[in-house]
Order: sequence, then structure tokens, then C-alpha cells
Amino acid sequence: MTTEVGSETEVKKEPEKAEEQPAAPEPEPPATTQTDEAAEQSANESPALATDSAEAPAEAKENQEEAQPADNATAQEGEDSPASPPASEKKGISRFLPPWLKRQKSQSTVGPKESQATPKEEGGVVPVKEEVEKAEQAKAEQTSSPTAAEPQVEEEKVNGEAEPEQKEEVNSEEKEEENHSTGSAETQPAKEEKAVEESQEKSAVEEENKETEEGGEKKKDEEESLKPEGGHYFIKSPLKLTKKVKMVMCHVTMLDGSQFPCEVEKRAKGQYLFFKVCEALNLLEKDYFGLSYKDNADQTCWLDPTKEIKRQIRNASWQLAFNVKFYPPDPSQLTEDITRYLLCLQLRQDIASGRLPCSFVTHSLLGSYSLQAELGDHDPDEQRLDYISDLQFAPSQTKEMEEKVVELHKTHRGMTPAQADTQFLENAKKLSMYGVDLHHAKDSEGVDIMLGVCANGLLIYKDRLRINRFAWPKILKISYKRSNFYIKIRPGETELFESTVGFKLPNHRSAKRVWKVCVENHTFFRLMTPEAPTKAKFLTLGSKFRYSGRTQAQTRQASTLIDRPAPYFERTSSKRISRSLDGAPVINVIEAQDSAPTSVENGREPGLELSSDSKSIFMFPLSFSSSSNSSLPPILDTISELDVLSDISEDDPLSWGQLDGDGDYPGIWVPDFTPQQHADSLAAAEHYHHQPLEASPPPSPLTCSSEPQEGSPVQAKDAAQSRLGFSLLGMLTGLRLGLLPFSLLDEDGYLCFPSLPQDCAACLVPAGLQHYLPLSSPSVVPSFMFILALLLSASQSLALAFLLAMPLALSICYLEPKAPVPAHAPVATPCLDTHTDTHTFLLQEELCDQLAWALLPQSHDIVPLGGAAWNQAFPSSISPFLSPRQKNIPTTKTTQVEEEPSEGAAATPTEGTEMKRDEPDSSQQDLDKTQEDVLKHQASISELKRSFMEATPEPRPSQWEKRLTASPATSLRLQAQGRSPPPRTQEPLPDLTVDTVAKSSDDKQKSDEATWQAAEVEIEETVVVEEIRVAPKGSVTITTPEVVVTPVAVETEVEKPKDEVIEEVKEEVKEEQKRPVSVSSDSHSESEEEEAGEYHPQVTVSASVDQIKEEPEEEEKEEAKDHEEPEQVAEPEPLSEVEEEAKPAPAVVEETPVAETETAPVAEAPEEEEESTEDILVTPHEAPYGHAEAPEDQPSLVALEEEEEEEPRVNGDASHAETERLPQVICCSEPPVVKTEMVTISDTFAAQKMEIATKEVPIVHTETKTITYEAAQLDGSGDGEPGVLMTAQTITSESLCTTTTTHITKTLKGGLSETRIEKRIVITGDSDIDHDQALAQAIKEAKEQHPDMSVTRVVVHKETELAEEGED
Amino acid sequence: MAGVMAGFGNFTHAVVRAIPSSLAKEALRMNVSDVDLEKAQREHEVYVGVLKQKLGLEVIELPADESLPDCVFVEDAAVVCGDTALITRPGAESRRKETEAMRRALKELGLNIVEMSDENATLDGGDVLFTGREFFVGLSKRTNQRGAEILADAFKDYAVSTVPVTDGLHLKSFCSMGGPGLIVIGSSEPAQKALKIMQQMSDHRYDKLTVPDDIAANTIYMNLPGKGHVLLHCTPEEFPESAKVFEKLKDHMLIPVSNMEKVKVDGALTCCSVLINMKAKV
Repeated sequence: MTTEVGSETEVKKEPEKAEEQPAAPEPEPPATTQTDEAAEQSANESPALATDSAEAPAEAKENQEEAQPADNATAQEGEDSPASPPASEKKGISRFLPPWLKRQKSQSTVGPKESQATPKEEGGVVPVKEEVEKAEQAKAEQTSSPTAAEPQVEEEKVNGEAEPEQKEEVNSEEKEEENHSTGSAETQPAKEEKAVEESQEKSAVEEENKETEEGGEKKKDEEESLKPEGGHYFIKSPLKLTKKVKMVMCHVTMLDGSQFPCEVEKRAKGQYLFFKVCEALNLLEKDYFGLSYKDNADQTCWLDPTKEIKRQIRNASWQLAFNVKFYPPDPSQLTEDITRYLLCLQLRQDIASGRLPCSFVTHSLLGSYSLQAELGDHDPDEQRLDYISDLQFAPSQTKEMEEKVVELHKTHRGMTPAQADTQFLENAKKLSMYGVDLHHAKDSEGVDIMLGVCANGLLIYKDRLRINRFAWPKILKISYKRSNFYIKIRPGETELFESTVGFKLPNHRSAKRVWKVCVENHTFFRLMTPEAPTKAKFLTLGSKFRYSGRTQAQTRQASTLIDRPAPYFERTSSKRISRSLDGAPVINVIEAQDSAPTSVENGREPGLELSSDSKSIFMFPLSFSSSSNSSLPPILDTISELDVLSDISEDDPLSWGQLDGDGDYPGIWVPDFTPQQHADSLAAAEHYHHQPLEASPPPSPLTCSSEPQEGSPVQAKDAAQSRLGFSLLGMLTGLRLGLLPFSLLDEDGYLCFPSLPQDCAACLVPAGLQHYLPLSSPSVVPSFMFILALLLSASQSLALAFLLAMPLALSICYLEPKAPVPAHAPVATPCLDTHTDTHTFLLQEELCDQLAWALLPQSHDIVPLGGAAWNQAFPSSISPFLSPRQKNIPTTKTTQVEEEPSEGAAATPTEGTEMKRDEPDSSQQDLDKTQEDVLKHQASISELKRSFMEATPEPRPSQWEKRLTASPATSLRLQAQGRSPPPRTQEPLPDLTVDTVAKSSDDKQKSDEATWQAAEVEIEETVVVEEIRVAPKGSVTITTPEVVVTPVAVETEVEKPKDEVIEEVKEEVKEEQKRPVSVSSDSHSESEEEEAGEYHPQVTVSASVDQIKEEPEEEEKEEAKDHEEPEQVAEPEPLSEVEEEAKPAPAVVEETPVAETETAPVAEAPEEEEESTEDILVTPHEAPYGHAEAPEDQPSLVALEEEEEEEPRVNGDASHAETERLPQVICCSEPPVVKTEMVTISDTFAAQKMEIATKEVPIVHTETKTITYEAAQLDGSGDGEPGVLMTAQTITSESLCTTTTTHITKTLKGGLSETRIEKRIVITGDSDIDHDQALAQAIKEAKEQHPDMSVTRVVVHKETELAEEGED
Repeated sequence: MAGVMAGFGNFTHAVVRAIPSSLAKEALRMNVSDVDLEKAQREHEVYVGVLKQKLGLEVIELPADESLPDCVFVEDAAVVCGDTALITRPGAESRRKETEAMRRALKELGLNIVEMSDENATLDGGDVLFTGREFFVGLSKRTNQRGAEILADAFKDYAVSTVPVTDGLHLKSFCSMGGPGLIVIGSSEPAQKALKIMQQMSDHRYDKLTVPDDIAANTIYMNLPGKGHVLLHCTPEEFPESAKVFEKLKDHMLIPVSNMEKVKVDGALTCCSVLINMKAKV
């Protein structure tokens, strides 16, 4: 940082100069509105902004806004650029201006050039309508040809000394601006530009404010930070030269009301800031605390420590509050007085704000203890009442109370502050509302109630009365869908079925917030260890959100290890506290909630959210759709969307009966629909999968032609496809891209909107998809967003087609494995058929009931849209679940298709999935069943299926998780791919599998397994698992032959999104990309990664290789850096590429080189990793020879286990919990699944966790390790390049911290179909622990899914950023 | 140190009211029955005597009001917890005025009086079960949601959960506290159902003492200095089976109190007194 200072100062100077000098001339572009400085900055930044905007999809709204500006900016840039006349003018100005401007110009010029070049390169791929698109393309180009871009950057640097820096700065600024309004000076300019374009006045005001407030400091900091980072980047990889670390000033309101200013990296995760705060407080027992912030709706949200702050805090100011997050039920068990003191401060706030109601007597008593703690013994000589009146003991305190306080204070004589605090807590903890987090909601009847989340469970209040209580053990599942929050209740002793209680929250966000709080509280208070995140899973449909911190049990254990003299801390005066209360970070929950609800009505908000999301989605969606779902994940919004989806899936039953919501809706619609059917979630998941698949197909039809699909054998399938296409079209329609007929769109709408289930009525009623979209509500919106984003990115028809094709391709791939020959058919329709078949099989066996139910609901929704076929299918499916299913197959297919589209659409799909789940649930209910067991089984099965289907696909639980997580895009993809559909497809193909399935029909899991096995036998699959920390998921788009042409465009698009994603995921990468230069230089790193993904699209196999290569380079560079904590970390974080079978020769070849380079660097950790990898490899070898048979799986599993063991140490986090988890309580439904899978790993992880916990020391160092494990077999196994490329799919899923991109390429060799799966997992997490787990899990899942598969290569690229966090 | 929720069952004062002669004929009752007024009055004298002499409570005896035939059942007129007294709004219109005397008496004791002024609210003290940690309010014919809400507002320290009372007059017609964390519950289906609801609604764990007779489940528990756990319960003459159950409570000072006549007008043991702990006042 210090070294950088100089540069920073320079920069500052420069801007100032620029402001002074050029202000007058510049006015031409934006100057009119803005001040000279602003104008200059804007001009300079404009290009960067444009690029940034294009790059950073995460910032949906902002981006949206920015995007427009960016376009303008780009236009401006174009002008600025020498090539364009306006540019010449600017140049003239620039002459006058300081180097700064020139640099900017140069940058801008570069940008335009690149953009121009990109078009050329891409050729006729797609004409870029918008400048933004151009910028993106430029980025893409850069990414595609990083080397070229790099040189350019270097040149620029040479030419203009400051140019690179400027670029970086610009990028960072832009990023910051996008992310945070508060931003630094840099951000200000960007804002200014935008503002100028949009609203000059606003921008000016903001700028001024920012400048006045923190501008100087921030600028300096940012500059400094940027410079150092840039240096790092250089070290790491030449490509990343431009990257700089921007610093942002955070203001944390402490519990004593003081402000704690903290400068953090712009991309710092919440954890970093939290640790900083805890460090400042000298707090060790920090697990009870958290940082909160106010969202746009003025709702208090908890800062997720595992996510970047900027992604969570959307509003301008980084104003946070340090608060108690988990109120210890027994404060006396806290180890340190300081912890109790902080808890006291929190409680005083709670009491004074009315959040914690208490009686007069209690107010007085607690107040007296506060006095004793802060003032000591009562001094009769003092005028107590005077000072007391300055203190706040209650929301409204009277003189009487103050007198009482003093009276009581007298009785505390001799009590030490610590004792007084203890007494305070002993009384406060008994208050009924102690630790109860209240949320406004409505019950099924629309009655206003309050949901209280606490350590023991969920409390339901009506007014002040407790009308119900659901202890954690009674809750089987927690989910949310849209604005509905559902809890699935364990059946009572005399009850046969589970019941689901639904609550209507003011809006989606509030529903998610409640859900998250529940997950966190349950995990913290109820579990011994946190649930293992599902990072490793290939596709995560639902929200992956999990409480990642320590549980209370762990915290207590850790507290016992605290061995330090009681830290001295000064108790602040109550006055201060009272003040803090006044201004306070602490929000009156009730008030806030009230405001929120009032502000947004369920129906209305969704639409609004959708719109907003859609915008954001557009930005990101493109990236997502095209290449990087990962990009979406990074975005919080996207995640939320995913969550929504997941939620929906879970909530399906409810959603159907949505409003009925409360309670037990075992059979609200059709008996099956009831929420109770959650157990059927598995089935639902399958449905989801199906849907996704179908959804994917539709897109292709859209691009190619919707008609063919229709023509496809299965009408239903076709319909589904068309629907999907329609959905896409609907999405597009927004974009005005709609190719499909409106009628189709309508159908699509249903499909998409099945997710809407709640809005079923609306679905039925309405017409256009667009209508549905708004109706669909948030969940739907996200999906649409993705689609839109994809479309936007593609902008061109080709791109769209590609996007559409992608899903289709994916679906096809899945199908193929099962039935190689038929599936192979490139045509989407055939694929669909196969899918449908598989689906049907699955349905028949396992899912039949579920599907039927799902179909029914869908049918209901669809009815208007759906053709006779749908209706037919539904009826059949409904009444006779099992047998009918076959008959219904088409219908099921259609339903699936519908679902898929919805999934693809994000919101709708999820809904559909949920619906399906519900249905299945109902079926389960019917079956009756040990629902729990069934659920567990299903979950596990679903997981397996998901894994099989798509590396990315997550288990059904994942769907549940989806709720928790997730970027919409990823969710969508995951849902579509990862969900049951893939497995199903596999199953269907092999008749044998079907038989097996039928046998095991009772046990869905069994059936799934059987199907898997069958699939395995029949098809050899190569799975390449790439885990790249640094590179976000450069989701590799594997283009189907059909799509091939489009791929390029898509790739570029993808790259952009990837960049965005990467930025989000990886701070470093992000920084680089974000920088204005990033378009040229910054984009490189990200682009590279992305490019790799892109490469795949071009040449399926080769592409993957390229990606790998690129990564390795980075890794190598990074490797140069020291690995502090070595070893295991590397595996998880880094890219792990596992190529199972060599058949895809190209991939193997490519990989091998990478592996070589990569392997060398890592020393300590690598060894371990290598061993693990070797194990893995061994299994693969076997697999290749034998081509996927059951036996192989076992070995692989063993290897995995071994790996896991090793990994755990590093990871040490979450997996443990699984074993420990209480079967009873299933947070997101995933738990069961996790349990099954995780068990082996758990121990090791636990060990790791333990280590970590004990260490507690955050790692600040930035280390990069690259470990590559290759299977010797690769060469042999790789049968050379296979012949015909059957299909290629790219699935990207994002969870909070993980972005998983799975590329599935199917090739037909000599009649044998090979499936090559490349998985790139980017884990962005503060803790290294997860990575190992993720890797192990990914491999494990892959193996499970593809028993035959051999892991040919695992490349782990680990970047550990340990900032200078002096954590304790 | 009187803290929050300290000293459950520790009472110093009791408010009782004499039986008006109108009770025999005019008092409300769920079942037709003839009440022997003299017998009832003797019972009541014994009851008050136990509180006063045997337990040493300071008993405030309110004069009977002939216009208020049910005035002896003072419990319904007020809910006292800590130093706060909620003057109820009885569900039976004929009993509304019973609160006046109670209000005066409690005011004289220096309690914080909280009025239930809402016209839509009704609450009988007999529907309020205070466990020491929380309130359960039976939603019965006499008590409605609004009444419970007001009670919740009056006692903010405590959770107030509502329990539907489908059978019986009051919540405490089939249950009561038999000790800290011990709920005495009748064995009837409605009683057991209500208990389950209470258990589900509570964050705390309660032991239960099931007695064969619902009415017998109404007891008066006190924890008095020098006497320990004291339980006033039904006599073996009234409910022999239930009395046997109480006799199993080895740690309690068991005081059988006859209530044969008052039961005829739905009066349980707890109905006839309002217990107050003035020492608990902070």
C-alpha cells in the first residue's frame, strides 16, 4: 500500500488538475450538468464505466442504470477515441488537460479499438446494437485474446505512465460506483457520468457529498490499494496488471453508539470487516455478533460474512452496525465479561427502542443495573436524577421510572460492573421477547401476525399474543417462495402427514430474510456444527445459503479455550448509549417491518422487484445465460432469485395453495399438492430437472425454430420446448426479441409461471408471458432476468439462439448418456424426446406421483395455455400416478418442459419445481410414508441424480438450498440440468435402468441409483472437474454442433458475464476486469478464464483445454506467491479439473500440459493433494478401461474419501455438521442429502474446522497455489478425439460462495457416446476449508453420478487472499 | 433482589370477598344445581381461615355485594402479577361491577393498576394461568382475544399464549399450577388437549400432574417462607381419586380444602382469592 501512495497522490493531483484546466472545454459531453471535475472524470471514466457496467452484472439495478449510461459513455468514448470525430475534439481538450485525461483517452481509445476489433473478430456473429454490448464484446475479445489485450495494456502503460493506473482506477471506480453509492472519488466520477446522462443534478449532489465526506481519503486509499494490488497482479499474472485494490470506507456503528471507521477493500467480504470490528473491540466470542445494514427498503439485514460487502450493501453508504446476532439463552455461560458487556449494550438498545418490551418494574431494574455497571455505587451526594434523565431506560420513561431506577440503584451497592452486567442479563434473558427476531407477516387468512425467530424455534405472534410456536425439532423444512415463507411441520404423534404452514411476507426479500434468519438460528442454536455447504455440487438450484459460522456449541467450546486475562474495556456512559439508540443503528424492528410491508405489497412488489431484477438480470443475465451463470451467483440479486426459485420449489404445495399457506395444507389443491409433500421434493427436483432440460430445448427452438420442436415426436415435449422458447421469447419480448408466437408465449408463461403457482389464478387468467412475468413475482423474475441477460449479452439473434440452444444442448447431453444413440441426435427435439422418456420413466417409478401432481398443478396453471395434450397428460398423471405416467409421459414431458422453462426463466421454473415438489410430496403423503425417510432418501437420490445429470446439478436438497442461494442463472441451470432430469434422462435411455428403477420404485433413491448405474454401464462419461477459485466460473459454454456458429457470440457474452462473475467471485480478478482498462487489460484475467470457457464452445474439447491452460498460467504466477497455509487449501480453491475418461482426447491433451505446470508449483499441500488426486486418478484409470461400472465408483469413492480427509483439514468447516445434524430438523431439505453424502467427509472436515476454530486467526496473506493432478491414463483413455460431437452443455450455478460451471460435452465415438464433463468450481470464501470439501464433494458427486467416469485431471488453483486482517 | 420472574408462589396478601346471599339463586352456573348458601359460606370461611391463619397471609376481605351474586369469585376480577394488577373486564355482563371493589382494594395495596377499558375486550381471571414464566390465557366463553392482548400488554415481561378452551368455563377449570414448573391437569380430553397446546406454545418445560377429575386439577400453590411448597387442593370427600394423586406430592404441604358448594356455581379453589406478593415489589 505504501508504495502505491505515490501513485495515489499523483492520481489525485491529476484529477484535480484535470478539473481545473479542462473543465471548460469538456463541457461538451457531460459537462453541462456536471462541474468541470465531474465532466472530466466522467469523460475519463465513461469508457471504463461502460466496460464496467457491461462487466459487472451483479449490480443489477445500478448496472441497469449504468448500462444506459455506459452506453452513453461508450458513445462518448467513441467520440473521445481518436477514431471518432468527437474523440478528436476531446483529444484537443485532452491536450490541455493533464496526463490524466490523456491517459483516459488512451484508455478510451483502447477500449473502442478493442470493441472494434472484437466485432471484427467475432465477425458477423452479431451486430452490437448497444455500445455496451460493444464494450462487452471488446472485453470478450480481450478475454478471448488475452495476450493481445495484455500487450495493449502494456503499451498503454508505456505510452502513458499513469494510463494503466488510471484504467484500473477507473474500473475500480466504476465498480465501486456500481456497487456502492458511497464510493470513492473515482466512483463519484463514474456516477457523475451516469448521472450526467441520466440526471446531472443528482450526480452532482452525490459527487459533492461523497467528495466532501470521504472523497479524498477514499481516493487515496483506493489508489493506494489499487496500486499494490496491481503489483500483485503483475506478479501473479501479466494479464492482471491493471488490477488495483480499491478501498472503501466503512462506518460501523458500535453498540456503544460510537462510529468505527474502517477502511476495507472494496471487494472485501463481510467477514473481513467483521473481524476488523471484533479486533477493535478485542472481542473473542464474536460468533454471537454480526454486522447489519439497512437495505433499500430500510430493512435491517445481516451482512453475510462469506460474501462481499459490496454485493450485499446496495445502497451508497457503507454504514453498518455491529449487533448481537444470536442472543445467548444463558449469558452466564459466556466466557468473557466483555462479551456480556456488549450483549448488555445490545439489550439496552433493544429495550430503549422498544424492541424488547418489558414492564415498568423490569425497566427500572435493568436500568438500575446499567447504572451500577457504568457509574458504580450510588452516590447520595450526586444529583442522580439529573444524569439519569439523560439516560434512556425505556422507550418512554417517566420521572417515576427514573426515581425507581435510582432507588434500585441504591440497592446494588458494592456490585462490580461485571456483576451488574450479569444481573442485568440474568433478568433480561427471562424476558419473553429476549432474542426474538420479529418479522411482520400474514397468515393464510391474511391476518397480520409476527414471526419471531429465536433460539428455540419459530414463534407466531398475533399482536402481542403468542398464538403458535414451532420448536426447531418440530420443523422439518423451512422454505420460502417469493413472498411466502413456509415451514413444514413434523407430524405429531397422531398425525399421519406432515403439514406445511405458510406465511405471507411483505415481499420476497423479507421472505428470504426470514428464511435466512431461521436457517442461521437453527444452525447456531440447534446444531453442533454448521451444515456443510453444498458448494461441491455441480449445480445448485436453490439458495446455498447456510450459516457458515460457528454454532453455539462450537463457540462455547472455543470459548473454553480462551486463555487470556480479562481484557480491559471501558464501559461507555449510558448517555452515549442513549444517543446511539436515538440515531441508531438499531432499528425498531417493528417499525422497520411495518414500513417494509406497507411499502410493498406482495403482489405489487414482485412486479417491482421483477422489473428491477430484470434490469439487473439483463446486465448479468447475458453473462449468465451465455457463459457465466457464475456471474449471476456473485450478484446478490441473482442469488436471491435463485433462492426464490429454490424456495418455490420447496414451497410448491403452498404455492399452489399459496395463500392458503398456513398451515397444514396437506391436500389443499389436489390432495397431492399439499405442502406436506415436501418429501416429494425429490420428485419435484426431478421435475425440475426435467423442466430445465425442456426449458433448455425451447431456447434452441427459438433460435432455430420453434416449429421443429413442435414437430418433434413428443408433442408435449415440443410444446414444452416451444413453451420454453416462448418463455424465452416472453423474456425476449421484453427485449423485443420474441420469435415465438404469442400463443406459445402464453404457454410459456404458464410454464414459467407455474412457479407462479401462487399466482395460479393470475396465470390462468392472463395472457401474455409478460403479464405472467410480473405476476410471477420475484422468483419468476430472476429466471427471466437470466434469460434476458443472456439475450442481452448475445444481443443478436444468434446469441439468443445460442442461449436457447444451450439449454437444449444440455438437455440433450443428459439424454444422451442414458440412451447414447437416440440422445445423440443433435436436434433439440429428439433430445427432448429422450428427456421426456427418461422423465417419464423416472416419473413412473419414483416420481410418478410427484410428477402427476406436479403436472396437475402445472396443468392447472397451464390449462389456458396448454393444449389438449397437457390436459390429457394431467388427468392421467393425476389419477393414476404410476401407470398413467407412462401414458402421460408426453404430458409429463410437457409439464417438465413447462417447468424447465420456468427454471430457465428462473422464477417460473422454480415455481414449477416447487409445484412439482409439492405434488410429489402429496404423492408421498398418499404413500404415507415415512416421509422423513423418504425425504432423506429422495434427497440423497436427488442429489445423486443431480450430480449425475449434470456435474452442476445439485441434489434435490440443493433445490431446497436454492431457496437459500443463488444466482438465478445458476439456479436455473442447476435446476434444469442438475435436477432430477438428467438422471432421469439417463435412466430412460437404458431400459435396464428403467427396470431397475421400477424395482426400486418404492425407494426413489434406489431407483435413482439404479438408473445411475444403468446409465453408467451404458455410457462412458468423462468428467472434468475444474475448480478455480480465481477464475469464477468461467462457465464454459459447450456449443452443440448446431449452435456452433453462434457460440462465438455467446462466448463473448459469456465472457462478459464471466468477467462480472469473476469480479464478484474473485476480488482480484474482479478488480482487474472492472477497471476501465479492464475492457482491454483488466478483462484479460477474467476474460482468460472466461475465454477458456468460451473456448469450449468453439471447440468443445479444446475449449476446455484452453481454459485449463489459462488457469494454470495464473496459477503458476500465483504459485510464485507463498502459500501460507498450505496445502489443502490449494485443492479446494484452485481449479480442480478432473477428467475422467480420456475419450475426449482433446480435453485430455490440453489438460495434461496444464497439469504439469500446475503440479510443479505446489509443495506441501500439493503433496497431499496429489496423493488424493492420485487416488482419484487411479479410480479413473480403472474407469476408463472398464468404462464406468459400479466397481469403479467404489474406488473413486474411496479416493474421494481420502481426498476428503485431506481436504477437511484445510476446509475444516461445514461438513461436520452433517453427521451431527439432527435428522429431525431439516433446514432446507438439503440436510438429509448432505448427511448421506457428507458423512465420510464430516470427520475430517470437523477436524479441520476445529483447527480453524482454534486458530481463529484470519489469514491475510494472498497465496496462490495451483495443483494439477492428472491421471496417467488420460492419454490412453483418451481415445483420441472422438468423432462426432453430440452435444455440449454448459451449466453454471452459483451459490453464495461458489460458482460452478459445468461443461458437458458429448461425443459419439464409434457408436459409443462419451460424455466429458468439465467442472469449474470457483469458490469465493473467506475460509479455505470449504474448498477442499467442495473439491472432494464435486468429485464424489461426479463419481456418484457417473460411476463409469474416470477423473482424468484435477487442477486446483487456490488463491488465498489474506488481507492484512489482524484478526485474533 | 426481586428480579424478573422471581419467587413464584410467594405471596403475602390475599384478597377475598364474602359470599352474598344472592349467590345461591342468582349466581351464574353452567349446570342447574341447588346451592346450600350456608354450607357455601362455611366453606368460604374455612377457605379464608386457611389463608389467614394457616398460611399467614394478610387477607383483605371485601364485603359481599348482593347485586353481584358471583362477587365471591374475585379471581375473575383482577390478575395480579408482581406489582401490577390488571383489572379485568369479565365476560359475564352481570359481573362487570365486581371489579370496582377489587380495584379499590388493590389500589390501596399500592399495586400498579392497569385497566381493561376496551369495550371489546373480555377477560376472566379464571382463564389466566400464570406459570411463573409465562401466561396462558384460555380463550373461552368469558375471555376473548382482545382481553388476552391487553393482558399481554400489561405484563410485558412475559410471554402470553392463548389456549382455546372449548370445554369448561375457564382455563383453570381443569388445570392450575401445582408447583414451579408443575401443571396439574385434568384427565379429560379437552384438558389434555389444552395441555398439549400449552406445552407446544411454551419455551419452557413443565411437568404435569394428571388428576382424574378436571375440577380437582384446580389447586392453589404457594411457596411461603418457612412453609415451603404449599398446595391447597380438593378434599378426598369430593374427589377421592384425585386426592390420592395429590398425596403423592411428598414435598408439598398439602391442605385439602372443601369446595363442594361453590363448585356448583363453577367456583374453583383459585376463584375465591387473588393472591399478591407485596414483597416481590421491587
